[in-house]
Amino acid sequence: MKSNFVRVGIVTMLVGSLLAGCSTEKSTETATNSPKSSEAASANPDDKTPIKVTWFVADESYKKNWDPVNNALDKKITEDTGVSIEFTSGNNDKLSALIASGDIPDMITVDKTAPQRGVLENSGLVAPLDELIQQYDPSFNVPKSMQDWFRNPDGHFYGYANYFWAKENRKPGDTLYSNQGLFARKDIMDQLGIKPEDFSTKEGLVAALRKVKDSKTKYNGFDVAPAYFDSWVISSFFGSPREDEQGNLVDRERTPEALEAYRFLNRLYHEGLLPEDSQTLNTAQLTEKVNNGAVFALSKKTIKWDGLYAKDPNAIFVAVGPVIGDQGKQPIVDPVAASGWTLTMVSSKAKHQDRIVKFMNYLTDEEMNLNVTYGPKGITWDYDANGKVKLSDEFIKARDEDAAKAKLKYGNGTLNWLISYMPVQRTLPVTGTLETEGLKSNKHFGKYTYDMLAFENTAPLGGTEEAGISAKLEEVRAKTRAKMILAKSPEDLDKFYKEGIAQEEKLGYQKLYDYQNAKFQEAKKALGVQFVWPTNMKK
Amino acid sequence: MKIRSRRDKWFDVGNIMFMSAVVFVTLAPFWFAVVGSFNDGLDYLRGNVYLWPREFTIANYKAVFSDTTIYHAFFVTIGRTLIGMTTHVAFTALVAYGMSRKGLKGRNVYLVIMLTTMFFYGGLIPTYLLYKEIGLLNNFLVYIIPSLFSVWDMIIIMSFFRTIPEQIIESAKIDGAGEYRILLQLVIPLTTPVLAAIALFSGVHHWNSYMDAMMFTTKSSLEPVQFVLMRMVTDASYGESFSQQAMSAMPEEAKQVSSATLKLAMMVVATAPIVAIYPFLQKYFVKGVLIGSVKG
Amino acid sequence: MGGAVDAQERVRARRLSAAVRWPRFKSQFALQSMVWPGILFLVLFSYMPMYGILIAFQDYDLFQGVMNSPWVGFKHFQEFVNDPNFLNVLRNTLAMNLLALIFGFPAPIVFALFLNELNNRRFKRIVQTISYLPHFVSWVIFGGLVLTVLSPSNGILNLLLTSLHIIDEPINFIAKPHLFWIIMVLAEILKGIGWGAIIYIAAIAGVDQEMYDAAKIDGAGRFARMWYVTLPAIMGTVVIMLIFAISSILNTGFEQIMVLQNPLNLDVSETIDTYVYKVGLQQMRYSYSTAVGLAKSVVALILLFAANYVSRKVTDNSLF
Repeated sequence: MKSNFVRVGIVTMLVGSLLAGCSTEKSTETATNSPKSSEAASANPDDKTPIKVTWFVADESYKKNWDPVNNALDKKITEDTGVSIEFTSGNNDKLSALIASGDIPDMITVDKTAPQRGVLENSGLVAPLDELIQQYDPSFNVPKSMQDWFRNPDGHFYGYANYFWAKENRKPGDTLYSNQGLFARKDIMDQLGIKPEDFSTKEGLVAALRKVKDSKTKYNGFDVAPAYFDSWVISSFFGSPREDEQGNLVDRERTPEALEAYRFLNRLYHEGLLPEDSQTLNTAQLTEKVNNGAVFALSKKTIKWDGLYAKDPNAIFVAVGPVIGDQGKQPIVDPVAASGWTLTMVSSKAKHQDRIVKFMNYLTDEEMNLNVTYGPKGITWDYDANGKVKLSDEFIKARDEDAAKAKLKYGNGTLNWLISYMPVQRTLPVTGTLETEGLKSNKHFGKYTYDMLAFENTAPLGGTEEAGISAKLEEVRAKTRAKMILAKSPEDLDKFYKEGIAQEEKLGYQKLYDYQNAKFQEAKKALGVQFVWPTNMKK
Repeated sequence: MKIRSRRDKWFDVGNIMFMSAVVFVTLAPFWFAVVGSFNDGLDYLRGNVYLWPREFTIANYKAVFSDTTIYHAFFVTIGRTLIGMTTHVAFTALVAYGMSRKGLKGRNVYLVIMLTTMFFYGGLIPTYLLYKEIGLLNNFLVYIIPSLFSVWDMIIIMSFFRTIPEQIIESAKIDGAGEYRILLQLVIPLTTPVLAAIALFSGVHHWNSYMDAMMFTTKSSLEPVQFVLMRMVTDASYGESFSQQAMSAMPEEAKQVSSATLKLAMMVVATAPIVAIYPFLQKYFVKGVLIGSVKG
Repeated sequence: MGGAVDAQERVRARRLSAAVRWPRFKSQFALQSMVWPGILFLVLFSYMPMYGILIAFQDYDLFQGVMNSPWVGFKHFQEFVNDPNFLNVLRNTLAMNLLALIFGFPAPIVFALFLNELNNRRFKRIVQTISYLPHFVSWVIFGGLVLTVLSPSNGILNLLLTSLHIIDEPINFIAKPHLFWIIMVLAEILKGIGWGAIIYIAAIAGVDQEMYDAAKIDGAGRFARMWYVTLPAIMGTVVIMLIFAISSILNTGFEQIMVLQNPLNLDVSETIDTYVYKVGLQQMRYSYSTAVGLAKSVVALILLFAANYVSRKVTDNSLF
């Protein structure tokens, strides 16, 4: 018995010391929160003395060994700035551990939606970026919309976002694309005399799919299935709104347009135009089917079809439709996120804060965006007569031989943490048919997108109860969707719809909705607008 | 006699057929994976690559080895596997022997202390802080020390130790042998099959781990193979899903390698060495033990 | 009242027994010194970080740490038990594990027994080596192959069944709720049979050869030898594996289920582990996940002791 007590005692002591250890460290960090002004005074504006910066990226797949000898991009950066980076990476759990231990590297890149982001900002472990910029490099121009969007309640903003579509930097022609759309195989359309416009009405679409089914078209020995559609894309085409006339958030799954989409897909299923396995195939399986040429029409772009095109350049998917609903509303599809992906922050204990801020400024430069994308200008690319990027033959050859090796040599695509996509999109080189068609369809459905920014922070933060509710609802919805689309009769469909809603209510639907609506209103306030949905804004 | 041998023969035929069936269904998935790893990445998207590569390429393997850090990573992995496996079996067997003796005082208390740890885990952050405190972060020993001992393996070894008849041990004691000598010279030689099995389990565990490297090290000189490969694959599939986000700017990227085929090549590279070791361990499983000869 | 006397008495008794015990203990020094490193190891690496479990009773906040996060008692346990899906995921978990116990547990034993009866050593080695290969194939790849075999459009199984006219129309097997549990258990058996058999093969290798010779002389056939010699000899190992299999009846891997899961079979395929992974871990709700994990561990520990007790009474084999 005694020995047990001793053991417990040891444990408690050790545990106590551990906890105490980490909490004292935390408090000292808070004390050193403000940037060190003494160093600032001595900072030389063009200081290129070699320094080493440690940088943690919360993405476990990321790896980069800084190599200023063999890697062209690293060489350029080190020559230009004197900075060498020691990258480490890991998942969010590792980031949590780093935070808990109080030891964080000079720079940190974290997903904007991760709960660790808020913890970092409030912990004093990272320095406010606005203060750092003011102190060390006032020429570092961070778009105001980015600052506002990521501003902490304490009034500061802490991180620079990559892939952020700052509206003040947008030029005419910059388009936020959508991953949603309606695509069909051009070769089969030509063969059966189907035109892209046929897909613009429900009846036209059904007739087109029927033609495919009735012709018993085979491709490569496979029966061609008419359609693999997702209900949420179809309901977007039907114009399902996300904001009501009072400016409240609308749950798209509960709009009449969503129900109309389910009824429509159920009809396609009964006519044999939408296979049963559309509800069970995973992405890999559907990709396989598409690349075998066994699919005629699709509603998402995230399925790769290059395998099919490589074998048969005629078998290409082109943009069709979009299909309009019974109410004749304007189709509205979701663009890709405009509020970016990750935030990069600077440790409040970093030795060379002055140099780091300048280094960040350097990396966010427009041409640097192209350099980190393709490798250094002059070696891997240069501007052509139209101001577009032209890749060098040396680079194309190296990449075709061994893409992974080329990356190590040129550094292309290895340092995207401070990138904006806009300069890249404006200068995008377009070469093959697949790319041309891709660009065409991007533009085609890009017309139907809206400014989604205000909706982008309605997803509950990780770790909250609402995040749990949201996951539970998603589960119910996945089940209910499949049941409705494969329902035996319209009455069954309506029954499933009502059952789904009843179950959602039990799981805490209202709580989640209130949370999301509050977030939505908050975002609109931050953006200084009353309405964000296109049809509401016109009024 | 005749009837029995005929029955035996039928048994053998049936058994061989049964075993062949098992071989067929267990070899198939592995074979498909190997074949896929030698297939063109873009072509593999079309599926149905099973018996033989449809478009043969070694591009996937080239991609795996283009990152030269993998050679050093093999060195780390082999090192941790050999050291980790040996120390694990030695440490665990030692505890197991002590625990296998019925007369051990406090045995049940020890057992409860041990079993409890099989079910309750404090989580990553307390573990991280502990390792930090005792200097295991960024230290090769983080691969070895935390996996020195496993209660589960201890229990299995213990149960094998307990099958050794008590009289053998008692007679050795009368001959003046100490507990350590009994363990080394008598018990271990009688239980090589289970020690070989535990060594295999531990070796495979060490060979396959990467979470400890990801969580507790930051030096690239400590990266094991699985970690390098895991990153390669998530990076490749990430790149693909990313290009779908209409954000990637790389037109007409070389497509001989896709994340699916890269994954397969990675699996082959990562498992071939450990699978090749098995036949060497196998002789310890097949050899029968003659307890009677020890008794006599 | 008599408390003081009692206490005195007890102290004396303890001293006395300690005096008796010490020599015995000392004589055991060698044995004890073998066990202590193991105990020390567990104290350091398992018990010390165990305070992390406390977050099951908190609304854990990374920034506040375990010391300062607010205490919420059994809130997370209640959320799980009162969840409308609770009974459903519990049923699925138990059903799949019971099937795995009935069919999956004996499979490697039967395999090891028959493998032992192979006369050709080379063939025996080849079979053994190949049978454990699937262990190294990840579930994502293995599950993908299972789906391909079962595919309604070009899966081998459907082609076979339709060409034999056993069925008229191809069946989308993976969409049929009543088949999911069977598919899952079969896939797990296939993937794990060789790996799981290793420990039994090791046990069989330790069987005294004399017993086989004796059985042969008694005229025992092959089945009889398997049943009366080999099986009893490895019973100790079997029982230990069984005790642990029973204690983990609330555990299912999530990787294997996730790859075979789809919206049409969700009603039967969601288990405690996959559900908590989705609504807990994936949402970074550490307190909730820890709470469910803790509840499962308590159940497992109770089951372990119960199974051990029953086994000691019934088979005379037990952990302790």
